[in-house]
Amino acid sequence: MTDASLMDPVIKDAFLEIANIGIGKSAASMSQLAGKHVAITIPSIDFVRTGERDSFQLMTGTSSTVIVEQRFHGEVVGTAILCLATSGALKLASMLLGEELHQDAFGEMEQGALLELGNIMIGGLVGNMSNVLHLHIGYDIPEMQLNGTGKVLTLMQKEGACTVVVNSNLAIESTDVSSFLLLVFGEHEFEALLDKIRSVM
Amino acid sequence: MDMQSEILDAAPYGTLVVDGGNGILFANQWVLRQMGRSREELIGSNIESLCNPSPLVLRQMILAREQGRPVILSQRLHGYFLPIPLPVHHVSGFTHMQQETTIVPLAGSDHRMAITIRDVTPIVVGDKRLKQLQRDLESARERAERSDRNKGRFLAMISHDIRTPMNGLIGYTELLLDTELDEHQRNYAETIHSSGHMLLNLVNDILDYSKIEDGKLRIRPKLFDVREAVEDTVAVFRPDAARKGVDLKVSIDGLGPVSFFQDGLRFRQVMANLVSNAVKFTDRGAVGVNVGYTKGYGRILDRLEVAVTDTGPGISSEGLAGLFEAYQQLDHPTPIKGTGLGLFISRQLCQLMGGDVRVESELGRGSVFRFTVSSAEAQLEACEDAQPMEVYPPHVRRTDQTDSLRVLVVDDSPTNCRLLGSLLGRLGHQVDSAGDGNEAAACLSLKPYDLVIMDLLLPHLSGFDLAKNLRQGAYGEGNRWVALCSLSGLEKHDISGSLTDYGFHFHLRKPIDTLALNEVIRAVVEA
Repeated sequence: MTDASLMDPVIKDAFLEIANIGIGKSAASMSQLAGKHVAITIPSIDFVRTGERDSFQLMTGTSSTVIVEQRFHGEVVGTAILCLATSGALKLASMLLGEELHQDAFGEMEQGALLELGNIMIGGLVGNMSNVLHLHIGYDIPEMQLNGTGKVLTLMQKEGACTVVVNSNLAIESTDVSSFLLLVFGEHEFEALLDKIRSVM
Repeated sequence: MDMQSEILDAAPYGTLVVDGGNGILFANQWVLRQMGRSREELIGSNIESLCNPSPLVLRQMILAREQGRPVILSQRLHGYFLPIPLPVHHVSGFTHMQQETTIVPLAGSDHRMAITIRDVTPIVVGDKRLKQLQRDLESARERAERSDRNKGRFLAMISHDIRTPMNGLIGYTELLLDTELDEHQRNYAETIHSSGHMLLNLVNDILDYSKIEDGKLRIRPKLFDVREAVEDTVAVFRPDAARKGVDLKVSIDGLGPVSFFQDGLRFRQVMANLVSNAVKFTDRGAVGVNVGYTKGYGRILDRLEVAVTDTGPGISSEGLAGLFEAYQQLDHPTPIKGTGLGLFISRQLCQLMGGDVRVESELGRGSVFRFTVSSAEAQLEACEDAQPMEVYPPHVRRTDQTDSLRVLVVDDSPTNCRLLGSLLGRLGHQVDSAGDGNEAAACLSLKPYDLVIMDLLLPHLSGFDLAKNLRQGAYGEGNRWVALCSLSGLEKHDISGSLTDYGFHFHLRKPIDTLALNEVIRAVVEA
């Protein structure tokens, strides 16, 4: 993988477009599901290479994260991860469930709601990517982890790994929560994805 | 039945497989059991007609099929619109089972999907109960803390208010004891005097306890002479020990005139508590006080260890447990008066002074209480109040240089005014008194004084305002730099704001200690 590919603004724009459309669909699903207006915006997209793994913590600004992880395979193989700061995750879950916020109260209902949210967001992003790029992709069942920073860092620091970092803001009523959607690829898988993007441009 | 079906039948969750038209191809035993249907009844039926799922769920199923990606339906977000409304009245009282459902498209082009259903009712019920419990606990904790704070404030307020009448009680008894009394009258007066002091000690304990509970107990280190502190403290208990025929021995041999940088008053308080207990509980034999130390720089010690031994009844192992907790009373055949706070306060004080207190005891073989305190020298820089508070400024003006002072006493309690008047008059000083701030202002405008002793909480004009006006020359230049002494039931450090900022030179705490009053008088006479 060349640094030039990573820095190419056209590639970045293409990813941003894919993410915006996919996440827009996710927001519509979430709105219908929660019976509340859910808006998700994508302010920026970045690419992070193995050597820059510390930047994950710099980006999230916290060492305590809740993650929903889902592997996908087929013509492109990778792992999609929704990362939320623990406090933000609690706030989101409370909003979705229409309950009063209780710190440290990650019960089954909160976890269930966040798992479903993660599944919808990842599905929107990766689903749209497969539609636009005409890729056949299969999915594993998503998993949730309450203290997921270590797992994310381990994935990101694998030799040759390249991560697409989709910075997103979720707004439900008056609650605004930052999150990151990560797409982690191996070096060859990422090259294959870039080739696909170039071929449809 | 093949092995895969057998495995699925044994699973503790539901599994359904549907074809592209939502016709049921497979249902495991869990589903059959929960729905009360046979496999023959279910196979081939359409899940939509069977379960009547909500449009939301149907949409999710279509999405899963179209996009080939799994869908998760968490029970709470989907409410009662679950894909499989099982006719179960769960033991928990839920009319619907709380389910988490995953719909996974299967590989191949025939759009089959596997639906797994997990019963999360116990977890959800547990969650709800746990959250309710947490809310209840939180609310109970808040109530308990509020009640504790109120109790603490009440105790502190009542204790403080008790000090004021105690001032009259103890002070007038001292005056009474200085008069001609017959033997019976003297006995009565001495009993009133000692009972007054006992009550005062109880009040002091309660005040200290309240401060400890509020985290407001402060240590104020100063250099003090160790030998003097030990001997003075023990001397108080010699009459009691002598009356009981108990030998009270002090061993501080080898300890010359050395100083220790710590809160001398609190050090004395701990010692007094332990020696007092030892004398109280020992009916025969001896009580010993042994002082050990670690030397520091020059003649200042680093650490003191004091052992108080007695030949009393000793303490059982049950009695030793929790001995240093609040309200613990030592077992004794005859009831011993006290609040049960002494050892608790002593331990807290020792810990605040960088040490601790511990006990070794055995029934029938007496007890040894050892306490340690460390020098606060290292904290000298950080300690704002390490300087003695009675700093006499050079600008104090005397009316003349005789030993007889002109003193104005300002207090809204006539008893206190009369008491101070008697104490000072007996020493040859001329005393005027004022009952409030306005009266005091009138007196100060009329004639010069050498010393003004004033209560801080006065009607009309507070002691602070009176002092401020005085220093600004509002009552003329004659008294502008008069020596000022504040009088309060509180310690100086418990009074908000700095007394010196208001121009006070001295502080006397109620009930008035005649020795402390004499010190103030001496300082003014020698100014």
